[in-house]
Amino acid sequence: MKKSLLVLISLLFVSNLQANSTLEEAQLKANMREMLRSMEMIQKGGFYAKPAMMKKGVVNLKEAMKLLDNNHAKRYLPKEEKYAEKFAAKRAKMIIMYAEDIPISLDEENMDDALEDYSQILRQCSSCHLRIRKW
Amino acid sequence: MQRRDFLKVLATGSVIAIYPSMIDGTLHADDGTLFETYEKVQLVDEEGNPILASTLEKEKNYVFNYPHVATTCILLALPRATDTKVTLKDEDGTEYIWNGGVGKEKNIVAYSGICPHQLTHVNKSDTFISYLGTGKKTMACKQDNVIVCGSHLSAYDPQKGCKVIAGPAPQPLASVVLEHHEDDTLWAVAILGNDKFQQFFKAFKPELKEQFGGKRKAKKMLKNTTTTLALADYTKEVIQY
Repeated sequence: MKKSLLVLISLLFVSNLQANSTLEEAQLKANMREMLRSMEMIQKGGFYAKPAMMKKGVVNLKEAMKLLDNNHAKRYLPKEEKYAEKFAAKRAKMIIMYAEDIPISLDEENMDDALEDYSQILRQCSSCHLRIRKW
Repeated sequence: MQRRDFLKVLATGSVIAIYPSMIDGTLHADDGTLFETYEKVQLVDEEGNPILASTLEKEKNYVFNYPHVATTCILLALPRATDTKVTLKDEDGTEYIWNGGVGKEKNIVAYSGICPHQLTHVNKSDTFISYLGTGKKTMACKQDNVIVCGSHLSAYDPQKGCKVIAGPAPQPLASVVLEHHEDDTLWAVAILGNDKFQQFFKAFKPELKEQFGGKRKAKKMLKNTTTTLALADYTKEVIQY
């Protein structure tokens, strides 16, 4: 009876861990999609010269970044890429830095700088995907 | 590159070897700027005392800023004399000659700390580009004694003017032309190679604002002296892969 109970507890623990990991992966994918949508919004705002749309895109992007910007890159990196957690964390930090500069540039009526920030965010995304996803 | 242009660069290299600061202004070959002189500055420690070449610890990462306040360079005393008259090629195919190390052992070299691939650079918060000495392993290549950019694993050979030996970097790290004087002092006088400084200032505006108070302040040129520190004392964290 004791043995069966132990096996049951162990199974529950393992399945719970798996469920958490699946949940996290699903959440990460959803966040990535949201980041993409936010980037599209910033880009569209830039093309149509609509600062408000760009700022909204920044807010959305920062919200979607919360999972990445928690210094726990090891949790979401693929197994064979976990060693690169500091690299991934740095890219996340840089995305936030450039995102925060967009509204500042827009308030200074410097669309050129705001678009430069946008392209730098894109570069951070591709930088991480180059390394982690082996583009 | 035209043969005549190549010879011109070669001849320039020979003069630089004799006394680099005799050259003033900018020399062009094809469409690339290969060699640019800046104000001659002396390498000093935090107290302002001159750095003496013979006191540099071999294979240790040192850094100093040159020619701008925010462009940090890596200074190394390599374990042996460097190669000399190394032909290098920048990303648009322009060839130039790197003359080799300075100092009694001809092993002291300095390079820009900005990786030409995606501009990863030495900075105060965390540094992904640095030298890995004898016996140190890297994921970038099998060789030791290399400068590695930990972002995308480009590796450069500092014995050979930082020629690219692995990874996606399109060209060598730009090198700092050093003078070694009879009193054993070290001076930075010029930059050789495609330095990427302007792209760096454009790309890292928010970081420069945070660390130097703005792009204009970060672009300020150094005068007279530049403080030289161990990389470990300059940056909060050195990340090597």
